[in-house]
Amino acid sequence: MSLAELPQQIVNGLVVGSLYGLIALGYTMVYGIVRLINFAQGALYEVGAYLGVVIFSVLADAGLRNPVLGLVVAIVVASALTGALALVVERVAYRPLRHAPPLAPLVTSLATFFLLMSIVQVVTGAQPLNYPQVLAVTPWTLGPITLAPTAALIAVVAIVLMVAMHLFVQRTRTGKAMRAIAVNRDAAALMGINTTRVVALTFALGGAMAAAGGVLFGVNYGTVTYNMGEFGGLVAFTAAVLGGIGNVPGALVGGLTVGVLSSFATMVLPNQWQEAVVFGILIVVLAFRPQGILGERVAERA
Amino acid sequence: MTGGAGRAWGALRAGWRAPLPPRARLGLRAATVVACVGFATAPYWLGGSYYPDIWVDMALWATVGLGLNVVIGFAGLLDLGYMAFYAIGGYVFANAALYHGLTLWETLPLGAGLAVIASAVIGFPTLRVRGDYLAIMTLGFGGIVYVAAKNLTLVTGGDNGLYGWRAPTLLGIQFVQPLDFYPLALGLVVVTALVTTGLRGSRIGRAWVCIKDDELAAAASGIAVIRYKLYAYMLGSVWAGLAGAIFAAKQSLISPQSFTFNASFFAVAIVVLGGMGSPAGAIVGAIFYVVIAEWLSAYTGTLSGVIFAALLLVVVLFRPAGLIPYRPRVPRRRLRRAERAGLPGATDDYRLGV
Repeated sequence: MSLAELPQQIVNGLVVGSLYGLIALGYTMVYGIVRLINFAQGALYEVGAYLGVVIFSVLADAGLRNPVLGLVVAIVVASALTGALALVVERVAYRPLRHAPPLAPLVTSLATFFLLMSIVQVVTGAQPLNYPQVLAVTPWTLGPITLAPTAALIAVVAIVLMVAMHLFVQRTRTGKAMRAIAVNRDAAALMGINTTRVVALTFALGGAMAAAGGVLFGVNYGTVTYNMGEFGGLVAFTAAVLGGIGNVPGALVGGLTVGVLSSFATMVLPNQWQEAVVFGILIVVLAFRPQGILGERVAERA
Repeated sequence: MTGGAGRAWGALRAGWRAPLPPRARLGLRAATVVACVGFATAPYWLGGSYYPDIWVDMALWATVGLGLNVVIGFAGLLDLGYMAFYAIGGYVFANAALYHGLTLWETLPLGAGLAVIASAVIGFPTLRVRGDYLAIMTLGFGGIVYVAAKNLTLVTGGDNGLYGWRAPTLLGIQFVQPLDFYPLALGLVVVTALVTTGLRGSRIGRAWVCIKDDELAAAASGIAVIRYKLYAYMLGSVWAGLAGAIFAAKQSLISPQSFTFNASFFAVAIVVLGGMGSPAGAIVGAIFYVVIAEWLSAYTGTLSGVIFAALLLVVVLFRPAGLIPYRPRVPRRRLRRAERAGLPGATDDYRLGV
């Protein structure tokens, strides 16, 4: 390890961190309004990444060669499909258990996560799939830092999507309904908010963001594997908790922090320990500052 | 369902729910005992060569299910890193056998003890956090143990794992074949079932149930919530430590592959599938799991993961109490005595096993 690497590692960390933040949005929004850790989020991210491969190959068959247009189409279509899948997840694994003890939806979301991951594994035969080259590979160099164009692209797209989501929650009528449900679901229903529909929409948006994250991951790293949802989901959850779960800007802050910290860790520790570092961050944050960086203290619900 | 079919179905359900006449009840109980003994001894009369591993695995997973049932079923704490304690038991045995020449018998208490210590160390900071955060923290702990098992090559042998110890012996008999370990594993299941069932009815067990039902009310009634949660965590992990040591001895190899997140997920699934809080359920859940994951997977390949996850989803949605729901049994003598004494609501209270 040398200090000369430091700026480069910060940049790498910020790039990958913006991606984690995007996936963390799904956790944080769902948790914010229904107090459920939606484990399925990690699997939705993976499904989105795989759908991206399919969409790119369909586009290539259709003769569409413009890479930027292809990327936009891939993100939009994969997000829409995964959002629809998230609606199914909400309908099957969450909605029937609204009034069940809190352990039940937690177990079903875990089962859904495992089910989706297993389906991807069966369908792809556990083979990693490759993404097409979307942008030129020649990296930009700025002093000690090199930055691949795709890396810059994912950071920009991820941050734009997160800002859009923040504005959606803060500025629109539906966003206001979401915030109202987060404060008090029954009161929100009495004020005429269709809580069922708003909750479903939140799941769908979370799934869509995860899918966008999956496609961006694939475009940047070139390969997707059948178990990427496991680690990806966990890091994103760590990001959500670190930023303050239930807090939309917190997802970005948490994502960037986790990204930079884990990229520092690779300077000191061998690469294989990266996972353990993320787990460690998660445990330390939960034990000492469970409300996260931007979060307020949340009372335990009886 | 309409008309006659619906009525017949209703009658069947009502008949199923209705209490059996005493003689039939006795007969049913005898049949259950015979079936259980028959199943437990199946490897011997089926011939030991028939999937020898499957029987020991069923017993070990049943132990895991029974132990995790204390944590999830009794105390209501979702533990997603339970197999970490199984790993600790396994690696303690492997190290003791390889480098210190200890036998399996000397190692069993050591593995169990270290699993308990580890659970106390991880549980102490963890158990103060809210229920759903706990799930994630235990997931993190399980992940760290897995990464450590993969990379702390000095202690764990890394990806290749540890192997090459001498087969354990008892009274001059060597334990070499998987089936040699079966009586031991089966004995562990029986002990675990008896001890955990006993715990459920004890003062500690009743405190767990209070905490599970309403933590705030439990605290208000003077139950030291965090301390009792810690007890649940520790008394749950002993069994994983013991089972892990036997598992390593049986496999004659121990490697990180057995302690992935998937394994901990399956452990949770076994408990939920069987019925949270139900010892019989944990055993049935383990049998289901081993049949699907090991036996059926010979035909279905990776599809067994899909089948098992879907099964879990269906059970939680349509039969939330599990395949064999927990039904506390109060000795009828006690019930009658309470009824004679005319305690108000005595019958119901005893039925609930409070």
